[in-house]
Amino acid sequence: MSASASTSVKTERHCAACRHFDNAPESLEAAIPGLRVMGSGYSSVRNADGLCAMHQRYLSAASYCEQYAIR
Amino acid sequence: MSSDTTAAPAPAVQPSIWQELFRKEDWWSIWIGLGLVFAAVALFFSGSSIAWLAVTPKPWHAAPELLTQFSEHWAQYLTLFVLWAVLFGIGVATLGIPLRKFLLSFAFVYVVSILIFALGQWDQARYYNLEPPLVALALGLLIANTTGLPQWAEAGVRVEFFIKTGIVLLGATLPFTLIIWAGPVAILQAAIVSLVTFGTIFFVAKRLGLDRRLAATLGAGGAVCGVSGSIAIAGAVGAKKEHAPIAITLVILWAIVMIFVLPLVSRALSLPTGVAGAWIGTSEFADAAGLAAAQTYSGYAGHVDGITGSPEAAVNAFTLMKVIGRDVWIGVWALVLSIIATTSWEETGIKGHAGASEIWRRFPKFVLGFLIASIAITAITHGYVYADYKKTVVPQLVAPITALRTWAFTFCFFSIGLTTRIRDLAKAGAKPFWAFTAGVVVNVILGFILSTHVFVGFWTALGQ
Repeated sequence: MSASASTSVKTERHCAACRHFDNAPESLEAAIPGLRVMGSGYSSVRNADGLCAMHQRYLSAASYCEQYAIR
Repeated sequence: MSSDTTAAPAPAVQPSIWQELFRKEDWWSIWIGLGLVFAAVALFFSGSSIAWLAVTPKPWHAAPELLTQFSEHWAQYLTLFVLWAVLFGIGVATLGIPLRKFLLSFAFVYVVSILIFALGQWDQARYYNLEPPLVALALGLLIANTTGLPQWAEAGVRVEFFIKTGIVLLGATLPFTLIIWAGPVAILQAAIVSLVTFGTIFFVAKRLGLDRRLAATLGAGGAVCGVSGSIAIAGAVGAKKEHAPIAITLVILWAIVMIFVLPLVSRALSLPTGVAGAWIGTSEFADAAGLAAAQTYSGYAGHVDGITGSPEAAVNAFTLMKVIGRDVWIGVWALVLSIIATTSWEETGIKGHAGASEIWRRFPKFVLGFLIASIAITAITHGYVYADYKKTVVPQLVAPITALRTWAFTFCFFSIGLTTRIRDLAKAGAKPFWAFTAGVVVNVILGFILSTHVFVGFWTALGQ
């Protein structure tokens, strides 16, 4: 569902500012086998996506959830 | 997670446009590529040229001839190394890659690239099928999967940085009028193949019981832009941690197979260079892999009986098809799939989907450099009559830029091999393999039919 459809506030921060989230290019190149072969952690198409250690997913930095934890 | 327990926070802080200009490889490839192009133009109009700097090995027959070349031109090779090391070094240092490690590693890449380039100029090279892109790839693969690449040599192996810089330089040798003329057909052909390939992979993956997000990540890798497509869509749809590595493994393995297969099949069928380039652009998965295949086929032109068309046509057709036809649409794919994932697919406990700005944020910015270089050189050379263009502009401006482009591509092709350690890739599993392979089969056949039958006249004319 769209974010705007939610009704109550438990989380006010995005993955970009969460301590579970790592989107550093060098970390991603180390964590994702083959990313450097014909791609790059530093490319524009990757935007600011990163790995979430809480959900074990690769997410947009603009995502959010209830488990947000400040860095 | 219940949908009514989490409200939308304020928009996430994204890097500003000014930060992006120096934090992304795409932008650095623009600064370096356009910097070289405009320096070449400035010297050209001042009555000089970068030709001295853009040194390349010349054709040779016996080893002593080659040694004589190197002894006469060593200062140019050294200067060229310094130029590349400074330009790429500033870029990687700003990106946060340790400069000292990069320089040591890049020196290794450069020296081996000289040898690969020189081998390709041997008068017996084509007899033994020693095309430089294939030699670079095979040598890199051999090193990576036998002795392994030493740790000190890793930092300078930047496949994407080299290929993007090379593509910006390629823009300077591709008339903008050609992009305008051929672009719509490239977009049409690429759209047909991309949609059908994505649909095939997604449908087969679903039938095999795979997660929709993995299906989309696989589909984007096969249909849009290889590793970049997979990683972009994995983020857009919120794929599991292991999904992107699975898709990347399959993209890499099939892309390497296609580097060898597509040029060899095209050669066996004596396809014109423009037609082969269009097929490669439609059916290869990554820019770097596709350019290796297209440049290999360019090398056949004029040397292999029955292959018609200009050598440049294979690379030009490939670039139009892959970069203009497929790469630039990744943001649109990401936006659409992000919305579908968050509105129609299973809940993951994570909220938020992309907005329209996604299209720009994921846009492969190096394409802007490619287009600017093309427009600039086309405008600058517009007033020359053909005879003057061939006599003056080509040797003093276009040929040196082409030489620099070939260097950047050679660094890239060698780097593909060096970074492809089969044992380090994620295990893909049978179901993802068959889903992706179904897409490969459809893609290759459909791309062949469109390139060699439906639009054959168009792509043949491109090479005239």
